[in-house]
Order: sequence, then C-alpha cells, then structure tokens
Amino acid sequence: MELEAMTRYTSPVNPAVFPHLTVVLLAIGMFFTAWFFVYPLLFTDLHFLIRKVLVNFSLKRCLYICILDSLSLRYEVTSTKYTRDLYKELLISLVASLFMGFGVLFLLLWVGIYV
Amino acid sequence: IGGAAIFVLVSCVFCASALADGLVNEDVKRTLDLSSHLAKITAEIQLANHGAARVNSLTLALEAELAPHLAFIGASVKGEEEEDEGLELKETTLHGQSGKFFEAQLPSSLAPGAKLRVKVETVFSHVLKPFPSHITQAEQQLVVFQGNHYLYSPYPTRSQTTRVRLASKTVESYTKLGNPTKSEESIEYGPFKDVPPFSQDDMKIHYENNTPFLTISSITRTIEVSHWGNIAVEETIDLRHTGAYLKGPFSRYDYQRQSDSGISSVKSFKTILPASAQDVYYRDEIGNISTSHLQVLDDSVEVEIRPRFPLFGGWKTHYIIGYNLPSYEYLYNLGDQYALKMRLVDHIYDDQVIDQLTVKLILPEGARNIHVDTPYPISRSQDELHYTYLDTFGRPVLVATKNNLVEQHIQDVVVHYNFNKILMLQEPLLVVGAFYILFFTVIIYVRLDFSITKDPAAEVRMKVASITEQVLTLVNKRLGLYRHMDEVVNRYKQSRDTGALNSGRKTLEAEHRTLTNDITALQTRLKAEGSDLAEKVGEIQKLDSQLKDLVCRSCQEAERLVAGKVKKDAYIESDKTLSGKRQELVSRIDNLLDAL
Repeated sequence: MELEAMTRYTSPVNPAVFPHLTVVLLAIGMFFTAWFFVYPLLFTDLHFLIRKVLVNFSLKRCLYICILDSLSLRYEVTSTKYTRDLYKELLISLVASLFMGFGVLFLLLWVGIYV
Repeated sequence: IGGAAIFVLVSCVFCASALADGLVNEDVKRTLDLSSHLAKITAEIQLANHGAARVNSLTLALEAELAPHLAFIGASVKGEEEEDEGLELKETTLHGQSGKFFEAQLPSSLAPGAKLRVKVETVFSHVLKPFPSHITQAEQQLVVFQGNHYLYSPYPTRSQTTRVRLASKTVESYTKLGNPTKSEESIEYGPFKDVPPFSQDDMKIHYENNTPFLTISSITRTIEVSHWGNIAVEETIDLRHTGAYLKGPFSRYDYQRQSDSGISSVKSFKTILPASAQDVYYRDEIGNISTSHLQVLDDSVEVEIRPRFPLFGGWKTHYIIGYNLPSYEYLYNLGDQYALKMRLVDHIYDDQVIDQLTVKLILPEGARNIHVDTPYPISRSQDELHYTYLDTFGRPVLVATKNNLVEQHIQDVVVHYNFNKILMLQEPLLVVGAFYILFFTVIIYVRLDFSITKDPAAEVRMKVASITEQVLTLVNKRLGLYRHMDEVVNRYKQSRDTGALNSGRKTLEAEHRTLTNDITALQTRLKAEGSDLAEKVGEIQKLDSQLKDLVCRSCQEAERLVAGKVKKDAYIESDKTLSGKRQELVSRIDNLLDAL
C-alpha cells in the first residue's frame, strides 16, 4: 500500500452544498410530515377545534377550502377508523422519514458535527 | 534545525561491537546552544580512516550523565554533492564503558585513508538546572549547565574546539579549561589537541537565562477522522513553568509597572497550526479563553495564546485547543484502502518539550485492517472503542504514547486502513429509522381505542362533518361556475359571438344540475343522520336557485344589449341592480356556510 499510488480523498458530497441540501431536504420532509399528520387526525375533535379556530380568525375561506380539498380528496365516508388508508399512511410516513432523516444528517454536517 | 531531510529512526537493538576500527576524529567543531531552555549540542566531525580495513559503520557516544535527558539524536553525512544524507542510528552497548552508544550505518563504506564529514545533532531536555532554585519576582533567573569540555567519542580526537552559545551576556562563573575566550554571548573553548577516546572533563557554566522555561507535562492529542470531509483535532495540554520557583508573593502592580519584573515568567506564546485549520477554539474548564489572537498566514495559522495568568516558576496551567482540517489534505484513498498522513504531534511553542504524549486517532466506524507507520518508535496501547453521534458499534481508536519529545519529533505518521463506503449510509439510515419509528407510533396510536363505552355521538359527528365538507366543496364549485359564466358574458359583449354564449350557458346548466343533485343527495344523508344542518343546506339550495335566476337574467340582458333592443345606459343600470342583488345573495350563502 504505497501512499504515492493513492489519490486524495474527497467527500461524496461537496461540503459547499451542505446548506442547500439541508434546506431543501428538510422542507420537503416537513411537507410530507405535515401531510402525514393530517390523516390520523382527520375528523377527530382536534380537527374540529382547528377548523373553528381558523374560521373564527376568518381565514380566507376559499384558501381554506382549497387546502382541505387537496388533502381530503375522495374521502370515503362509509369507511371506519380501522380501514383508514393504512397503506397510504405507511407510504407517506416512509417518504417523510426518508427526507427528514437525510435532511437532519446534512443539518448535522452543516453545523459542524461531522458524524 | 538544519541538516538532512530524513532524520532518526531509533529502535532498540542491543549488540556488542568491537572498536578496532582505526577511525580517528581529525577535526571536531562542537557547538553547544544553551540559549533556550534546551541544550542543543551539534558536532561537526571530520572523520578519517587510519586503519587498514574498510569501515561500514560509525559509533556515536553520549555521556552517562547526559544520556537520560536525551530527547533527540540525529546524524547526517555530507556527501560529495554537498547534500546531507541522514543516517540510521541504532542503540548499542560497548563493553566496559558507561553511557549511551549509537551505531550509524554509513551510506558507502569508508576506504582506508579516506575522510568523511559527519554532523551529529543532539537535543537534551531538563539539563539546565535553575540555580538558585527559588527566586523572587524581581530577580533574574540563573541556570547551571554541567557538560563535557571534550567530545565524548569512542575514537581519539586530533583537534577539537567547543563553542558555547549562551542566553545572555551575564555569566556568573564558568570552568576555564585551556584558557577559553569569552565574547558577548558565547564562550570558546579549545582548540584541544590529541584527546584520547572516552575522555570527559567536567564543564560547568552558571549563567543568566531568562528565556521561557515552559514544559508540557502531558498532552493528549485526539484526531477524529470523518469521511464526510473533515478531520477534527483537539489537544488537551498541561503546561508547567520549569524554571526557578517563585519565592514570596506575586505583585500584580510590580508586574505591570516595571518592565523587568518577573522577567523569566511566561506571558504568552505562539502556536503554529496547519495552514488549513479552521474553527479554532481555545478553552479550559471554566470556558472559552478570550485572550488569544488568530492570524491566518499563507502557509500556516498562528495562534498567539495568552493564558489566564502569567506563568512563574512552579506554576502550571491546563487548556484545550482544537481545530478542524479538511480531509482532502491528509486523507488518501484507492478503492477501499485509505491512508491518513498526519503529524503525530504538532507545534505548540518554539523549542517545545513534551514530557508525556498520548495520541488518540479515531477512525470512522467500520475501519478494518489498521496498520500504522511511525517515523520513530512509539508505544501503542490497546485499541479502544469510541461512541459518538450516530454510532452503533463504536469507532476504533488507536492509542499511542511516548515520552520526552521536542520540536524535531513533529513528523508525519501514516495510518492505513480499509473502509467499505456503503457503511457511510448507516448514519443517515439510522436517523431515517428513528423518524419512521416515530411515525409508526403515531399510526398505531390513532388506531387505539381506549373508550370504555362506544360513543355513537362521536361517530355521527364525524360522519356529519365529512358530509358537510363535501357540501362546502360542491357549493364553492357552484359559485365558481357563476364567476365563469360572468367571464363568458363579458367575452360575448366584446366578441358578439352568440355561439360561444350558448355553449357556455349549456355547460353552466349541465354542471349546475349535477351539482345541485349531489348537494340534495348529501342533504338527504344529513337528514338521515338526524342533523339540523340539513335545514341549512336546504336554505342554501333555495338561495342558490334565486342566484341562478339572477345570473340568467343578466345573461339575457347582455343578449338584448348586443341585439340592440335596449340602450347602453339602461343596461348598465339594470346590470348594477342585478349584481347588487347577486352580491347580497352570495354573502348570505357565505354566512350560512360559515355556520356549518
């Protein structure tokens, strides 16, 4: 093992890119996390509470309806709690944890904790 | 320290060697540099082979009194091309003689009658003894050096001179063998003729030396390698002032007011770090020490360190200094094999003396087949495991110790190891796993039902809520339809295209019908659940039919305007009233929706 035969080692990810990667990955991860948390809490008392608060603060109703529309698409009313899209939730949580996990790793590297 | 590029590799091999070489030191120029707290003795020897056989090796000797304090020894040969070649030295013993002996292999054997120039450098630590051993703050520091007037050599010396360089002009006393001459800061002894081998004559010089007498009693150097591109170095240093002890009180006032008070004390010193050092920190148990200056130069980073208090004789301090280095300067790789080339110990202050060094090299998790190439012998302790962020089975730590090091020991050590790149993925996957467990817990939690009795009201509430959501969306869609219709009418007013108007009206009718049917269906379901919201929905339907009428009327008005059946002003009037009524209806619908 001669030193002369070896090349200099460079990191797999350019350290100059750490901040950008962190922000992007964490943003996407948090979006998916938020999306995930909507599902189990849909139509529970917490959901009503949030809605009452939002409406009382006269959030632009169209905006509110728009968001709800996109998130609670095609929701079957006849389904019970237990058949509630388990696979959908699992999938979303997997994607969310993937992005959050890598985002947190690059956050640690950016801050100087070179793990 | 000038000289050869390659220095010492000292390993302990004991063997007896006979000295019937016939080598003779023709001319020796010895320089004793006592200007710092170390004794640096350099001897330039002109060697001649007066024997009959070729000579392959050379023996160097050290006096028995000085030998325990030896920190570094190096020898080089002046070649024909004026290049110095370093010689490898091996420790040996000689029968019947005391002291330390080193055998040097010559690059080419010395023929009988040939001459050779050899340069031997030795550094001794803790040989300058403060005398008096205790001084007050106002006094000067005087030290005693006890050495040898002659060169201690296994070969006879024809002629030699010794030059002693001192730290100051003030000399209390010095031994006067052979009428030495004393100039400003140096004493010249000799020339001495025909000195037999192994000759010793005690030299004692008592002089003033106010240079910093700092010793690092122990240093722990931790190097943590990360494959994400960073090497973190941290040194924990215990520093002592090993000059004359301070006797009596310490007066801060005198110290600051008089320039020669505490002249032998140490206020600050400069540490030179590698050129690419970043994020330098200097702290101790209390916290950050702010009395430091960092200067980034082209080829190094200089930190001027000023401890919290000046160091007088017998005083000590403890601090931690750390910095980050980019890994591409020190880490090399070829496939799975990696090599780290770093200094075993770095510069702490000029003329440094380290009593005890511990080096800890932390390699990434999963490094295998670790192999270390050291420039000089060090003792390796058991490999440890270090656990830090995102570790599962620990990082391998190489531990090495050595005693009595000086500046000449600042050399590179090379560590070879194997590391599988896939293992780097373990770190992010650990975080991903942690997050996934969190989400999974939430999924299970919302599916748990701890209620003692079934609560039908909650079920109904949820169902009603979902139905109302859908009603909301549908009503909004309908209102959107009216807006779209407005746009079509406006376009018709400009383009006068009856076809477009008719098609627009048809789509409006069709969609409106479907939406209204959907809403009525939902309304019946709401009624089935026994909710009072069904009435509100009914009201909305009624208002909506009125709104639709108004929209149709405005559409007809526009048609009549285009056909010319009604005048422009009248149209504007009627349009205004119609839109006013529409606004009113829309706001009432909005209020009802809010109530849902």
